[in-house]
Order: sequence, then C-alpha cells, then structure tokens
Amino acid sequence: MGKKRIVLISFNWANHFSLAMGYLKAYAMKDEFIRDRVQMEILDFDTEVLNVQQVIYYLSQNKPDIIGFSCYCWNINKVLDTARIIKTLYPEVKIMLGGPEVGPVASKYLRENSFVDAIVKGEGEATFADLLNCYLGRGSLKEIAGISYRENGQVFENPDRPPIEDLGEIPSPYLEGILEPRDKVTYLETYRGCIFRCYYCYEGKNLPRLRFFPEDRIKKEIEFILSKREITSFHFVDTVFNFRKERLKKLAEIISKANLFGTELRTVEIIAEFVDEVTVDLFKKAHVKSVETGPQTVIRETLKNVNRHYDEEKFRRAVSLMEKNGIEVTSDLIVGLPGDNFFKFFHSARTIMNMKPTTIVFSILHVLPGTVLYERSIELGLKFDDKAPHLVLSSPDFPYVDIDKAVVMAYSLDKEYNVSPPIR
Amino acid sequence: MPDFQQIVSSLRRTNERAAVLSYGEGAKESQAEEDGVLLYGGEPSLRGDLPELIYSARRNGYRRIKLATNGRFLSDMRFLQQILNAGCYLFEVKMWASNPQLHDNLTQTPGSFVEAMRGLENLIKFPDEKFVSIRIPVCQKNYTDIENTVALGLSFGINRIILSLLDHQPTLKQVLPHIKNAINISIFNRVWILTEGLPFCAMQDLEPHIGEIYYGWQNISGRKFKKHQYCTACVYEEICPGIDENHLKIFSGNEFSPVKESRYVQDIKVING
Repeated sequence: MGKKRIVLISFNWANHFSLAMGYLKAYAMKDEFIRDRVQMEILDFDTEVLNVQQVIYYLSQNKPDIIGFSCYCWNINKVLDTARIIKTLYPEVKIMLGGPEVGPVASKYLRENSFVDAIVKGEGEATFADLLNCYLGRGSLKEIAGISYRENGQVFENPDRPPIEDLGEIPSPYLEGILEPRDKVTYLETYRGCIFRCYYCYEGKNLPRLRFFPEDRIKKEIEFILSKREITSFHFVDTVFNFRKERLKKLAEIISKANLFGTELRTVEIIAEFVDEVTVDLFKKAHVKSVETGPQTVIRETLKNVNRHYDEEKFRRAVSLMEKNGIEVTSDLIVGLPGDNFFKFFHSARTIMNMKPTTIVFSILHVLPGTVLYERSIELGLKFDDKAPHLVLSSPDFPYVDIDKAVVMAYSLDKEYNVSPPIR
Repeated sequence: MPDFQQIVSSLRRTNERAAVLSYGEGAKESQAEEDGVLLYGGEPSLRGDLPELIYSARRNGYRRIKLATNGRFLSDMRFLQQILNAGCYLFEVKMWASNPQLHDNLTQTPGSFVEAMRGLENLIKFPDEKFVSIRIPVCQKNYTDIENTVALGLSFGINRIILSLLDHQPTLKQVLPHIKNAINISIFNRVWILTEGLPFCAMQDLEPHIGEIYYGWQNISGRKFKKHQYCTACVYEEICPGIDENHLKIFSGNEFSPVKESRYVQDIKVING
C-alpha cells in the first residue's frame, strides 16, 4: 500500500510562508510510524494572488488523503471555501483545521461547517502527530487531548492539551530541510508565550508561561540562515524581542558572529519602554534595521481596559533614540479599543505622530476568539462581527458611526504620514 | 540652489500641525516646524526654482513636503516628474467646480479646469506612492455644485477633501445641506473630508469633520473670527474663536445658536489643549 498523502495548506499574505506548518511536519516526522506511512507536503498560497479555484485544481491533481489548514482571521474564509469544495468532490478526504482563528471556538466551527472532521486546539505539534497516528490506525479520536472532532455526525470536544514543556522536542524545520529560508520572509522563534497579557491579543493568554527553544539550536538556526548570501533580511517572531537584556546580548553576539553577508534583521516586535542606549547598541550589533512596537493607544483609561503597559516619556525617548541611530520604528495604533472614542483615537494618533517614528500602522480592533476582549465583550459592551476577521462595530463610548469615521480618517492619516519617496 | 534652511530660519516658527512656507504673490504669513513643509502661495509652481527648493528641503531633513497648487502645472508631465524626483509626494490641488464653465469663471482663467483635471490625472498615473488631497473653496457661485465637485474629485482616487468656506454671501441655511451631502458622499466613498471656516454650532454632530480642531483656528487664509453674544451659552465657548467676522457683519449672527450639549466637547477640549 502506498503512503498516505498529507497536504498542509496555509493562505498567507504577501509571499510569506508558514513557520507553523514547518513545525507540524518536523514534529510529526520524528515519529517513525508516521514517517513510514505518509508523504507530507506544505503548500503556501498567496491569498492575494491565488484564488480558491486554483487551489482546488492543484488538489484535484494531487489527491491528498488528509488536508490540514492553518487558520487565521485573515484567511479563514478561503480555508472554508476550499475545504467545502474539496469535501464535496472527495468526501473521503479528511479535513483538519488548526490555528488561532478556530482553536478557541472549535466546536462552533465544527457545528457550522459539516465538512470539517477535526480541529486542533492550541499548540498544534503534538496534537497533530496524535491525529495522524489515529488516522493511520493507531489510537482513537476520543483519546487525543487538544482536539474537537466529528464522529457519526456528532461534535465532540476533548480536554485541552498542556503546551509542550521542552520546546527542544520540536525539531527545527530549517535544520531538518523542511523549510527553505527565503529572502525577507524567513522567521525564527526563540521562545513561546509573552510577558504581557494584553486583552486584545491571543498570544500571551493561552501560553501561560514563557518556554524557550534550546540556545544551541537557536544558534544553529541563525548560523544556517546567515550562511546564505541570498538572504538579505530575516525576522524573529518572538512576542518581545528585547524583553531581557542578557538574552538580547547573547542573541546579538550570535548574530554578529554569524553575519557574513550583512544580513539585516527587520521588523522585530519590541517593547519601546525597555529600550535604552545599551539596547540600541545591541540592536545595532544584531543588525536590527527596523522594529515594530505599540502602544496601540495612549489613553490611560483605554490602556487599563486592555491591560496594556505604556509609559509615554520612555516610549518617546526610545523612538527618538532608535531613529537617531538609524533604526526604523513602526508604531502601531488600534481604532476601536474599549474606552476610546473618536477624538481619543485622534489624540493617540497625534501623540505618536509627534514622536516621529518612521511609520505608523493604523488597524481596526479585531475581537479575536480566545482573547480576553472576546470573552468579556458583553461585560465591556463591545459589539463586533462574530464572523472573521471579527472587526469591532461599537463600544459604549465609540458608536459605530464614529468608529467608521475614525477608520476613514486613519486611511487618510496613514497615507499622509507614511508616504515616502521611492528609492531612485 | 536656494538654501532652504536659511529661508526657513527667517520665517516665524509655530506649533502648527504642518509646517508652512509661503512664496509669491498673495502670501500672507509664513510658518515652519521641523519635519513637514507646506509650500503655498500665491501659486508655488510659478517659481522656476521649485524643484531645487524641494530638493533642498529634503536635503535639510524635511520628511513630508506638501505642495498646495491650482494643479495647472501638474498637467505638464515633465514638470510633475521633476517635482516628484525632487522629493515632493504630497499634493493639495484646488478644485473650484465640477465643470469648466464654473471653474474657469471662478479662476478667471480659461482652460484652467482642463489643466487642473489633467494635472490630477497625471498625479494618479504616476506609480510612485503619494498623498493627494483636493481643496474646494466654497462660495456664493459654487455652493450648489459642492456635491458634484466632491464626486469628481473622488473619481481621481484622492486621499482627502477639504471644503473651505471662502465667502459669506450664501447663508448657512443655503450652504450647510450641500456641505452635509458632500460629507456623506465622501465618507460613503471611504475618503476623509474636512471643513474650514465653519464653527462648532454650524457643525453639530459633525464635529469630527471640523478641520480647525486638528490644525488650529489660525490659518493661512487669514480668516478672522468674532464671538457673538450667544456664544457665552455654548459648550464650546472656551475653545471656539467664534463666527467668521464677515458673516457676522452680513447676517448679524442670526443663523447661529449656541451648542447646548455635545458628546465630543470634553475630548475636543483635551485635543485643543
């Protein structure tokens, strides 16, 4: 009997690729039983370029037995369209979903989408491997922690699975040859979790404490990526790149030593308030060319409502310090946070514009499943579209009409502030 | 090449939202701050050394250089290319009307409408990232055409609209319905729109569109305001400079009534410091 064909699909923005899918494959293929019985392919589709029909065509030519989809609020509609059509065409294909859009509300997605067979909740590597084992005839669905699934038309929800204690158990998808580093879109992860618990964010809440990948593995990954001349820049997906100076120092030294071709580190997420002269020196040593940071809002009451840390003077000083040292700062602001209103949002925008970061990113609040805001939406009076991307509609101080106007104003401010001359 | 910094240093510095430099005939005052510049006049594109001036401003560290223009010179692709090459990516083009008859009548320049429209077309054609706003001066002759002018402007894919009340021949009762329609048309099309010269009491519930909230009541048009006796009863009394002096002269403030309450007032006070 031939090997089962597993296809892992991720619809991404702007030519990015899915690190998560690389982890799933790397972890599952450790298992000899799985390795001997499956052929696994990762497909990254650009959500802007490829439409669902093209993806269906590809799948119809390659006939997988199991398809796993990586689900985010920005791609879930394409995922569901693809899965529904595939299941209609090939009812025997198993459809599995995972990712932050579906994990926290797995039963809901199963009930509403009869073509979905199982959903992985939370961290996926170990759960996905168990699911594969099960579909290969080893184990039963009801024994797999961290899934919701459909059996005989009924939806079942199993208990959650605790996160993997030792992240060293997950092989590196780069070092295993599963993911090929690509210029500008290569991601590394040195730890999971977040030191903060912002109520609009999924990241920190569901991973209760920080877990680190082993240092020697991080070093090898960095050296591997920086050994490639064609990689001109790469990223870390860590929630706060600069959260501990000693750690940052080690990383900067590794990067500095391995950086044979002047590869730049771009768009790392940082907490600006932690940045001082020493941090900037370490950033420069690590070839950090651009950073992204909050504060999302500068309004005290709103910050309190979303459990967000912000110190205006430290933030201002950090932006100035980094910009003076040639590090581009992108500052993020969110329209529609609870406690904000039209002019409070503008006040935040003006405060940040006056700090003169290189770029300001304006986005509208997504009330994401699994976040505190999602769970406390009724208590906070937050109305939002329950369908992805879960955009906020109104809050007690921010009626729909004003949120809508704030969004239109933000388009305009974005264009005016961020316009930059092309390189000629 | 002109030394931009020298010119800037000789100008009065203020805390305005955008830095302002003025050149040429008709310029009334000049203001500047550290990272943005507005070039206006008169008509700045009449200056032969405009590209050099822009280039000099960029070299001196000005990140955002905005050109306020009647748009006619932008119809010359080579000139536009020079301006873009020099580093100007923000434009504010004046549109008087939605048709050549009215536009040319108001500018007193035959052919100016066609040239301004060609200028806007050229701006859109250029692939470079840019910010384009249109300024519609509102007066007795064109106030019934505001909606059409806004719609025409929107067809160029612009990023902002400014409706600036120019004279006070039309009554507010005549103008405001058109202003409100224009705001609705613009927001429906997802383009931000601001007004100038209209006080809080004329813009109740539309306060987010009052341009002066964002960049102050001191402006380059030299508009003068005066309080009416009713103003003392208005919730905006502390921060509103009053009604346009000319309008008050003509209509004695009969069209205005104090704002009794507004959900925006506290936050606007914070913004206006």
